[in-house]
Amino acid sequence: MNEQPVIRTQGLTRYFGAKPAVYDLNLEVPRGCVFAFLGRNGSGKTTTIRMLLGLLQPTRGEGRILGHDIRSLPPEARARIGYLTEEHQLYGWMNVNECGDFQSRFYPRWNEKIFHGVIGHFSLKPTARVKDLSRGERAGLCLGLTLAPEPELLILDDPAMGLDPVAHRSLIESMIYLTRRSDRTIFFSSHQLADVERVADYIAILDRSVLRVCCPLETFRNSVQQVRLRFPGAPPPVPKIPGLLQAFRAEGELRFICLHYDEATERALQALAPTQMERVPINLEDAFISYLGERGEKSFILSETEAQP
Amino acid sequence: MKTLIRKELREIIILAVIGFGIFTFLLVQVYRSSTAFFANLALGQTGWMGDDNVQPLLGSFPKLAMVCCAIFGAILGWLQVHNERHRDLWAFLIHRPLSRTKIFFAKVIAGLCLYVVGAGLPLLGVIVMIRIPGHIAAPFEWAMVLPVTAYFLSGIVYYFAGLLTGLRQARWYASRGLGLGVAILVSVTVANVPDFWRALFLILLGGAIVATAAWGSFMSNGYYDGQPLLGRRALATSLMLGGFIVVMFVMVLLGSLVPNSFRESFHWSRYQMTKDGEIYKMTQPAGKPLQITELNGAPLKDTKTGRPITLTDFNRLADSESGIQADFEDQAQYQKRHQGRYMESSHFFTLWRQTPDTLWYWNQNGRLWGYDIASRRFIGSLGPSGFTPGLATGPDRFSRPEGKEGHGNGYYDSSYPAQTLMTDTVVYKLNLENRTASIFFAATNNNRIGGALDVSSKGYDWNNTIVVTREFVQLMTPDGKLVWQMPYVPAYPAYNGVTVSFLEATNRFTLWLNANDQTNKMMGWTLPSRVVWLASGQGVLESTNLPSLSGYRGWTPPLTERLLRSVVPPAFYSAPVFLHGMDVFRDFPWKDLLISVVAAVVCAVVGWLLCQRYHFSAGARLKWAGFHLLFGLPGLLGFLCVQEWPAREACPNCKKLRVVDREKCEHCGANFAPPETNGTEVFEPLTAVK
Repeated sequence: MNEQPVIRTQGLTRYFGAKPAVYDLNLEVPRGCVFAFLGRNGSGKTTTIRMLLGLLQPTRGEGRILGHDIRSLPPEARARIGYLTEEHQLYGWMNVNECGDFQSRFYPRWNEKIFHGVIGHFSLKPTARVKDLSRGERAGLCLGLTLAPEPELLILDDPAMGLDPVAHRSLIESMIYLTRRSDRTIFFSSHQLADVERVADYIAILDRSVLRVCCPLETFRNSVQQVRLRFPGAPPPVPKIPGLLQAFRAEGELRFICLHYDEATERALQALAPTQMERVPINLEDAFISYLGERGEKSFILSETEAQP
Repeated sequence: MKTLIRKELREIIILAVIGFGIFTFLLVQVYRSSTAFFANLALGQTGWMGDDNVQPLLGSFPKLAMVCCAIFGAILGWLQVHNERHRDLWAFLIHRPLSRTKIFFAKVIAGLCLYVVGAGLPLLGVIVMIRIPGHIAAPFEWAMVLPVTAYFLSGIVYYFAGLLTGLRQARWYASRGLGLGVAILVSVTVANVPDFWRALFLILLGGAIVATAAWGSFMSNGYYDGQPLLGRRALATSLMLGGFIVVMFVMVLLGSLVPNSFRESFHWSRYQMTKDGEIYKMTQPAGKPLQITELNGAPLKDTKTGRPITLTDFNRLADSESGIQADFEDQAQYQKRHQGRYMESSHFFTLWRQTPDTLWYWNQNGRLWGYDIASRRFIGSLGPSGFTPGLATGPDRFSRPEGKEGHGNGYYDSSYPAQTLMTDTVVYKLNLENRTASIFFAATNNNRIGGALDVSSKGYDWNNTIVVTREFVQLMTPDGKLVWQMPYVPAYPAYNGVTVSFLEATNRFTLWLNANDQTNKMMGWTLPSRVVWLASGQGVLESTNLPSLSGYRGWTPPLTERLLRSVVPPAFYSAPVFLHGMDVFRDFPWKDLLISVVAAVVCAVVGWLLCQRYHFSAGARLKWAGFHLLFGLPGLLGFLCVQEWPAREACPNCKKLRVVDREKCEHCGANFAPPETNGTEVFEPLTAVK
């Protein structure tokens, strides 16, 4: 298997006016993985994807996708990359079959079975016009159009946005189906952290245009720890604790979410003299929210604890 | 690519159908008004008849084609892109295994096909209708199709300008629509060049510039950065041309803020004879009232009021004059010089006479073409050797009718008593009822005829023909008798202006021989005007020479025009050479060019400073400086439109502000600093999943 990363960027930067949308992005996406690209709205995920696909010129820096320079992606590289946009836009005047027919003529590896399998999964009528489809149905059609060429690299930009749970589940199943072949790589951005937790091998998190996390999913999950401290009376004020992301105050207890939990963190917590101290499992969503909510958007409880003398 | 073409065709065919319907409707309306005109003539109604009026291919159709093709082309191009400007739909279009150039060409092929359907088919339909005998009682030549063809082709430039407008990532109120300026300039120049090949050249040039700019923008998703070099240059040129129109518009607006900024002032002076044979001098000083004086300079006063006479009153006293610009050159040369532009009817024919049932056109081949008004069909042609039912051609040909040469606004005046047409050596009298041509006057001894004009004066019994030969100027009665004859002295070519007037009060005539301006200018305006008084059967009664007044002739352009001239880029001063040949250097506006060059130098300095702000390389700065020197203020506007204002941030090494689109600091060469860490980073090397 080719060990070269399917996506590699170095110092990739994009400004809109004087504001950096993506700043100095250094990223490598290994072949054959499911890579989740996360971040809050406006953090630069879509801008990155659009730069990777040559739909937007970087201000500086460089990138390669499947070994090709992103500034001049040749048609043969595009044939190997499937791209599902976040709003699932298609030509409204076409019907489902026409969409498939239109798309199939460009891709030599077009797999009609996959296309019909996906649209069948979403219960789409072949004669239905795109403009008459619901958002979920349109997403299904887009997915079919993206998967049928059997791309080596699938880039999905928030594919589940606005989908109902059934359509959402279908989408995820399709993604799982696709990853049965080991040479396929999926690079997707999403706000659906349960999906990420379910399918992703690696995650990257953009925080205000800057890449802060790029690691296996488990590594990130292990880096974020939740600890519950119980006290006989009112909990004491929260001191300065290394790696603290968030603190939640409740009656007789304090709950801390910390990054890079280590002995120094533990010592600082012990110093609060709790009657009980235990680690509590944390899911990815909570870890993610804590991670990104820590800066600039302090939680209500944390604000309250800081306000205490 | 075929799939994309089919998709494009299907996507915008509705627009082509709508365009086809509207354009067809308008053309049919214009066509009907033309045919109604002939129907009214057949019923005996008369009215204003222009050459353009009788042949819609040279009048109303080109005007309609200009407007409709421009609007249709621009909307078609714009909508073809605008429909797909949604970010995700654009990605769906672009992200496929096909080069962008092919995708662009697929769009263009489909767009142009539909343009041909929407704009070309209706035009073709009406051309075919006009070509079929029995519809329009006027000459038809395939070359008459060229004006509408030129405007149809100009519509393609609008199409590409529409594409460019749709593609550009710019604000509407800034530079997005500037590409349309190229198409507007092409339309304007196409209407003013003398030949079709020049028009075609301009269309191809303008079309190539905008098409390349549109292609470049397509390649880079509408941004300037990331375009191929050719696309960037074409875009800068397109926006510069659009900027030129904007600058002109702004100058007109500015000028309108100043009182009387649109008022131009002429100054001239000339002699005017009254019906009683007295000569006065009319002088129009710049910006002042007209002065009418006697030759000694004393103001002419109204005998009733004792005040200086008004122009209206003076015009009542003025004599009736008829003039010829004598020309002894070969007919073909003469005709070539006086042939109008390819868009004008005078390029092809002149409506010469109307009889109750026929229309007679003088045609470029030197024959009169007759059309039956009732059937609107060609009935035959009349030449010096007589009438034939066909389009006979040959060496025998009438010269262009006097008084109708090349002014482009051919007209037919029912009171115009045209009876004669001439060749180099013979003046023929034509009887259109009998369809015959008889010799009216023949030059002798290898003499040539330099001009013949039928003249009359309404309300007076004066209906004669002036004939100018190299030796004599003579006035003849309609039946060929000599009224008077006068040696042509001073002679042609220094004196080519021959004017005859009838002095009602004394039953005399005067003959004025005026020097041509070109020779007179070379002689320092020293050639006098010769005036001779004559009477029927008595010959020359008296004569005098009057000092030349032609030198006191000039025009002060309005303030607005002077403002406009100051912003015309230096490079554009070569345009008149292209349009009119090297003759323009005779009166070349060197002063305007100097102002334009000074303005361009200022723009080049400003541009140089801006380039420093952008931190361009020395080569790029020099290229832009050259661009600004050639194109002045519009060039500077084009530059500002294509170059996004650069974001800057402090360099961590040298602390100076550096532009963000360079890999290294332009001051100290340092790299950009990596983002500051905040302790929340989680990085781990990733490996391929087996």
